[in-house]
Amino acid sequence: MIKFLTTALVLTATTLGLATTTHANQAQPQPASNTVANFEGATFNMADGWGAATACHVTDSATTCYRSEAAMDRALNENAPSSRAANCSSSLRLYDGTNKTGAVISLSTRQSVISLSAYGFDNRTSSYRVGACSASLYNGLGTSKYSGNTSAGASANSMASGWNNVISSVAIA
Amino acid sequence: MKPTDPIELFNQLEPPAPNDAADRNAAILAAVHQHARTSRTKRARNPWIVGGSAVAVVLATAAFALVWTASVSDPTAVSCYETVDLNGDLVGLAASDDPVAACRQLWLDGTLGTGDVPPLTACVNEAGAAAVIPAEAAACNRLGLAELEAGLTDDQQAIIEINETLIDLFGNECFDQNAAIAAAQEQLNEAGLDDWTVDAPEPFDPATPCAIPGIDNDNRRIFVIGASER
Repeated sequence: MIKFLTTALVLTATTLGLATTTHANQAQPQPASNTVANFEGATFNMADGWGAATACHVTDSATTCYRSEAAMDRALNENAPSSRAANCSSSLRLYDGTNKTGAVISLSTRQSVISLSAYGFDNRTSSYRVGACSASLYNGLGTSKYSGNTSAGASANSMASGWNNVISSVAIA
Repeated sequence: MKPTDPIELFNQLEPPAPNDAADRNAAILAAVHQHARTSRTKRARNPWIVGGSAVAVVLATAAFALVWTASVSDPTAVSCYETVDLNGDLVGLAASDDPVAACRQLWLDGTLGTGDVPPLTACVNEAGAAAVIPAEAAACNRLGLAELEAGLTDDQQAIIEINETLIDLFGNECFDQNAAIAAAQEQLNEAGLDDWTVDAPEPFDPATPCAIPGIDNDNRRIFVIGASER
């Protein structure tokens, strides 16, 4: 969808005098005074409206807002991962270049097959370092397993013959 | 003849021909009709002119506000970039309904950098997944990517939940190939995801008897592969 279409419609409605309010009144709590809140790396004055924020956590020292209540719950739950998937304490690192050079992707989600295409890293791996959890590298989506050493702590400055730039998925144990 | 004699003057007037009055009346009537037609035409054109001008103004104004946005087609991954460079370093996270917040946590804990957290913007990468970059919102479009529209569809949310449920299930107990496929299918059935399938792309072998799940979003498929016992 293109946001400008919405903008154009609002502007059209405004031009024709049909729109007097573009935002529905939302049942948002109003602070007693101007309160600066943090939201996704920026700050805003809550008295001016919440914008994209829908849930805020207020403490004596700071107010932090989130896009959703679920996001706030996760943030408040200390060290809660973004999903229930467990993470390895140190990540598997795949490098675009040999000798661990070039762009690197760090992965730590355990117990599921991770497709690299979703990260723009399909068929790019030329060297790697395995974290604290052993890993499996695959040519396909969970198929055609890489035969090199991928046990915990292993690393390689180049791939085994025929395996350069062909890794498409990984699984971290 | 005296020029001031009114009688004489009246007599010198040329009497009108019998049809002149009718012609004059017809001409006057025609002129009135023509004026009316012209007026109607002008009045009918005015709204178009006004409307067209308004649209032109709106479009010209909207051009300044042009922002390309999209929702994810692949909800299973979030890329957190260290720089505004899609070929740069990144941390790959699992699904999140708030990619910016998920990546922000990596900035806060120092994984992606130190100091103040930069402004973060979620884009949609070429694979249709969320990619969060340390830049203002306009950077997505400058990189040739759509700015992310927040939110997931019900189906996308469901498939994420299923994947997480399977990770929990398979993590707590060793599911062999058939049991894993059955468990995944049951989850799909419960969620009503009739157009998703489940398979094991390769048979489990004795060294890897326990299932772990994967999502093939492009083909709407859950697959299970064998892994070592945990």
